[in-house]
Amino acid sequence: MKQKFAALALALGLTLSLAACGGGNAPAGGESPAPQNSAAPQAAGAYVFTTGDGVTVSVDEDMAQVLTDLGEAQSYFEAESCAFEGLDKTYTYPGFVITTRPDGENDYVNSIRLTDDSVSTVEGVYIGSSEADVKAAYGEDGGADQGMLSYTAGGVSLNFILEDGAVISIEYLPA
Amino acid sequence: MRKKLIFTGVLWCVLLAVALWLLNALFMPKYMSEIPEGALIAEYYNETADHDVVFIGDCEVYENFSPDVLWREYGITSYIRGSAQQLIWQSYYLMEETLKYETPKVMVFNVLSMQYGEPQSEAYNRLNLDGMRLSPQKLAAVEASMTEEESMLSYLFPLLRYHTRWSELTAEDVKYMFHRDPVSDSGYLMNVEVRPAENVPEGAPLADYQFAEVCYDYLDKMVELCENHGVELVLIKAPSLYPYWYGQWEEQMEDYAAEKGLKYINFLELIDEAGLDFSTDTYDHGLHLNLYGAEKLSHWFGSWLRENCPQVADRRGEEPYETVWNEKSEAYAQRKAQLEAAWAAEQKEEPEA
Repeated sequence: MKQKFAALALALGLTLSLAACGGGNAPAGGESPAPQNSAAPQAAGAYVFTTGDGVTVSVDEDMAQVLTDLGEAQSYFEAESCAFEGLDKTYTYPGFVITTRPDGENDYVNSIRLTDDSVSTVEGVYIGSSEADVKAAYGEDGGADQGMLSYTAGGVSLNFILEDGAVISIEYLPA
Repeated sequence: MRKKLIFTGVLWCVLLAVALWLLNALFMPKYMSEIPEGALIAEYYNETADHDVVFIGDCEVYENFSPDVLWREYGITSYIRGSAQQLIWQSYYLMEETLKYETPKVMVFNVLSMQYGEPQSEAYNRLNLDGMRLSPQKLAAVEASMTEEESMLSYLFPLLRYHTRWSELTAEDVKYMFHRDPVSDSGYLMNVEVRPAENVPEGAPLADYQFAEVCYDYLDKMVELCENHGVELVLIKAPSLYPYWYGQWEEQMEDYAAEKGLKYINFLELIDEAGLDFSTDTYDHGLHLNLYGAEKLSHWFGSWLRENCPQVADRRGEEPYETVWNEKSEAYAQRKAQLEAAWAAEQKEEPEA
């Protein structure tokens, strides 16, 4: 009889050890299923954006620091993600828009999009520049996507959307 | 002796199976006090009467339409099979599965998910798929939805996925091991809070506005499925202001509906006509309507259904609908009162600027 109990205990023990073993990713329900990527330190040589006032903003930077440097945005919008906690925030400044993603207690820059020709990339490309200008600044190999030239450096993608041969959107994103 | 050994072996197998089943029930997320969106899909199986209208789609259906209003004002029986970031292939298989249980007169599909041509995230997959009963439709939906890191086995045996929750288990996990409380009203997830829409950003230019081929494939399959079952498919774009709905996307949907002879309503163009006011009718700055907005939209849509889909009957006074929906209306009113009281208390404590 003792043996039977021992066998049952062993079977349940094995089952529980399966249940309790670590190793998997975060559980996908209940407590912490947030699907967002976590913040990564900015790699050297990454594309960064510099405002007309000389303030540098980079993808993955802590937004609190950006707000300290840039001051209050012209307008602000926040969107809760469906089901999960955390706000995706949009800060609009003259000439560019910054979006953030939450990670823990902090918000990090997720994208920087240039919206008019009052600002330009560090390499001198702005809204309205030609495709040739982009290639001259960043190289011929801008990828095969239709209507877009994309360059990656230090974990940051710099995307130029073109219409009729001219740049209509410039966006810095995590690669 | 041999018989005894076989009996013992079988007994141990049964005991092991029961133990695994119990552990699975314990470890599965319950989605009661947190992330109620995860409980939506499974709630459908508790329905006792069929429906003339079934909504299928993402948050833009389960937050923006009130089946209770459709019943009270028009006698229309409806259900929302919605879930968070429901992808079009998930919608298709839910539609197919729904048709195993009932044959509604109209299926309403929200087209926002046309923008996603590939699996997005496991977290949303779990909310949308774990609640489905095991069926060929569920397996096909999982197969179509899995991201690279996921495995079919973990959907068949969720314990493989959720065993790491052992350190997060709460009393709620024990309380709801074998049952769930309803989180929705016929699939509608009620929210009475008010947060006006302000500074909603325009959409960023895209390099390519063309919807992915796979999305059209599934939309074609929906059309065919509905045709085969004698169900009218109505396409809608809910009036959510964000995420941005591009003019190029609208054009594609209008062309598609015209080509297939489908009715298509873009509620973004009917905001004034439906009486929606985004300073009072949204709980999250324009992404979703609150209860008051959902009731206005449902009032408008019920009238539209009455006029444009005569096959959708007025079931008031007809059993079992009258009894079932009176009970539903009671629960709806009760939930509304509770949520309004909670929101009023929150406002009192922490008035919003």
